[in-house]
Amino acid sequence: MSEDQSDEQLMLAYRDGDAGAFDILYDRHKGRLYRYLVRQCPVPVAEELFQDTWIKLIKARERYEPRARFTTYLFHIAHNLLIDHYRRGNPGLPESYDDETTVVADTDTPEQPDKQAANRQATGRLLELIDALPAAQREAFLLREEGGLSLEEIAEATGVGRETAKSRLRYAVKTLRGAMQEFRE
Amino acid sequence: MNGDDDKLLDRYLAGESDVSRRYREEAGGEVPPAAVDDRLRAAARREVNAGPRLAGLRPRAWTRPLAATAVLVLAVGIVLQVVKENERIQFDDVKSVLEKTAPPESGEADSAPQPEPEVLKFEHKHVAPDAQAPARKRDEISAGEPARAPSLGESRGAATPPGQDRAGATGGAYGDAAGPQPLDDPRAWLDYIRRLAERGEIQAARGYLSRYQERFPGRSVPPELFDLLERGGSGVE
Repeated sequence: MSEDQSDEQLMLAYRDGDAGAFDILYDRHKGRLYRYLVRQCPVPVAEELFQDTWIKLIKARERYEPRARFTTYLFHIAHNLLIDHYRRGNPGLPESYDDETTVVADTDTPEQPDKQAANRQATGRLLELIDALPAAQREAFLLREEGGLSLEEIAEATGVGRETAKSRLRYAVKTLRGAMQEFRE
Repeated sequence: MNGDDDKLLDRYLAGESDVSRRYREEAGGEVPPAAVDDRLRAAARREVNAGPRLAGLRPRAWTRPLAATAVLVLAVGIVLQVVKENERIQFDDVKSVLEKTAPPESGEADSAPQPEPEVLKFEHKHVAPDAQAPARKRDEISAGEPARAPSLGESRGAATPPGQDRAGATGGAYGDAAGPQPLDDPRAWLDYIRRLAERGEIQAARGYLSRYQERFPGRSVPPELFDLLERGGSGVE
C-alpha cells in the first residue's frame, strides 16, 4: 500500500483485508474529521462522535463500494451521528435543519443574537463567529473548509438537495464576511 | 438573496474569499488524542483479523439464480406430491363407495336398470383413457390395487361359510374393493363371478355378471357359470 493511492483505492484495500491501508486513510483524514466535529460540539462529545464515525466505517468495510468520493462517505457517516446526537439532546435537532428549501439566516435559538453580538464585541475571531452560526449553516461551511466538499457533495453528505446546501453555505459565507468587515471598521 | 450573494459564494467556492483565508489562519491543527488513534487503529486490525462475518458478506452473483432454482424445485416437488396424494385419495374414495354400494337383494333389482357402480365410472375416467396410453400406466394402476385392496381369499378367508355371509352378500361383493382385477380382463371378471357364486354370494355374482355382459357384449358366458348361479341361487336363497 502506498501513500500515492487514492482514498477509494485505500478503502477498497482495507475492505479486502489490508489493515495498513486503513492507517494511511486514517492519517489523511483524522484531523479534518476531528475539527469538523470539534467546531460543532463540546470536545468530549466530539471525541466520542469521532470514534463512532471510524468504528462505523470499520464495521461497514465489507459492504464498502466506491459510489462516491471517500470523503463524502466519511463525512456522511459523521453527519448522521451528529444529527443523532442533536436529537438525543435537549432541545433536539436545531431548527436550521428543518427547512429543506430555504434557510433561516439568523438563528437556531433566541439566544443566538446575543451570542453573536458578544462574539463581535469580545474577540472578533472568526472561529467564534462560526460557532454562532445556525447549526446547518455552520456544518455546510465546515464540510467545505475541512472536508473540501463541493456543493453537490455537501448536499449528499447531509442528505439535502443541492439548492438547500447552496443556500446554507451562501448564508454562512455572507454572515461571516459581513462580520469580518465590521471588525475592520 | 441577490446576485451579489451568488458572486460572493462563487468567489468563496473558487477559493478566492478572505473568509477561507482567515479560517485557515485561525483554525489550529487540532487532532484527536494519541490514545484515540491507537484505539481506532487496533480496532481496524482486529476487524481485519476477525475475517469475514457471515452477516456482512456481500451477496454473490450466483446466489440469486441458485435461490430461484431451489424455490422452483421445491414448488414442483410440492405440486407433484399434492397430485399424487389426490390420486390416492380418489382411489380411497372409490373404495369407500364400493363398500357402501350393495347389489340389489330382491329379484326386481335384476330387472330394474341399475346405476353403474362407481368403480366402473372411475375406470372409464381413469383407466380407459390409458388404453391409448402406454401400457405402463395401466399396469401401475392394476399392480397398485392389490396393495390397497386385498384379494378375495385374503379378505374373506376360506373359513367363512357361504351361507353365513349375508352381510357379505349384500355389501360383501361390492364391498370387496378389489373386484375383478384387472378390470379390462374378461377372464378375471368370469373368475371373480365364479368365486362369488361358489361362496354363495349369488346376488353379487349376478350383479357382476350383468355388468360383465354390458362391459364385454361380444363375450360369451360359459354355460357352467350359468349353472353354478342357478344351483347356488336355488341352494342359498
